[in-house]
Amino acid sequence: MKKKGVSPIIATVLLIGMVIALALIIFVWMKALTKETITKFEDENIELACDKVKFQADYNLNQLSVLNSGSVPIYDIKVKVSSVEGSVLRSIRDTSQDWPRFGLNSGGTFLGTITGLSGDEVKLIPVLLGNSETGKKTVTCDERVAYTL
Amino acid sequence: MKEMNKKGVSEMIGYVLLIVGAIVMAGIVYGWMRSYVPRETVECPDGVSVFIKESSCTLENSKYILNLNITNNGRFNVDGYFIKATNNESQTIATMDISNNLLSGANADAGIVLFASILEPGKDARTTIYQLDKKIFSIEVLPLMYEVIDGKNTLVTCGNAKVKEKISCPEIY
Repeated sequence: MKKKGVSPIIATVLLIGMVIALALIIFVWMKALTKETITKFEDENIELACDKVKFQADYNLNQLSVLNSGSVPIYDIKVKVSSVEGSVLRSIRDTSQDWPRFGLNSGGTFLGTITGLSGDEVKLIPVLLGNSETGKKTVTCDERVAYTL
Repeated sequence: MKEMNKKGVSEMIGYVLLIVGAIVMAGIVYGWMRSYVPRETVECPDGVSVFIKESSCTLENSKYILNLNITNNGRFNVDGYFIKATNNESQTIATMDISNNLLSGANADAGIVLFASILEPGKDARTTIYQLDKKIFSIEVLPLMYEVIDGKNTLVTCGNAKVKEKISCPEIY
């Protein structure tokens, strides 16, 4: 019997090509489903940078003072005031004109008037500026790295 | 015995497909996990410490003159410091940057005061003199150092080694 068929080498090449193509399709699909990776300090995930943020703060007579005592620049700080009625979150950058335009660099300080920081719990949550494929993006760090007044 | 003629993929092709599939999956996982690998940490070593050996505040021609003597009592070299002051008694964190008011004894640039030469452990820095328009009540000195990380000279702030000193400035009458 003379059977016609594809040569084994060509079949192997075709199979490998199909596997790679399938893998690429799945990769592109998965990438669209997962959230965009935002990095800081040469491709390190920004969530790791959040763990390195160190700052001190004090609130007295409606004056909030903040010192960035670490090496990670802080772009903004979100103030979370929690009480029995619920919690309110606001940005110091949006609230105060005294906030530095490029944030608090290492050793940088902020002193400004912020009203309404009275509640059962007041937390200062750092916001960092990172790099993504679509440009600069801000990321609010997890509450576990927040500074409690 | 019946001859069985079952068709299937050859073992060699099977191995090739499995290996290629594993390599491709490894590549996908690597690309995704790469950003979660922590980079070399920019951190100040634990043994960095300075203290303010002597400080004084005097009034000359309606300006306050602040003299500071800083000593390195740690185990590592210190390159400079951030210096902030408070201008009211109730303030607990110093926020007023007085590095621009430096007159002599060190070099100031972009909010940083750099010692004339690297301050080695056990050494005293030259007396630094600041001229201020306002009365201050305390100062905070935050030492810093430069470390070479990935071939780059990187500024490292030593927040844990911050020192605070109360300053008594005379009143202007």
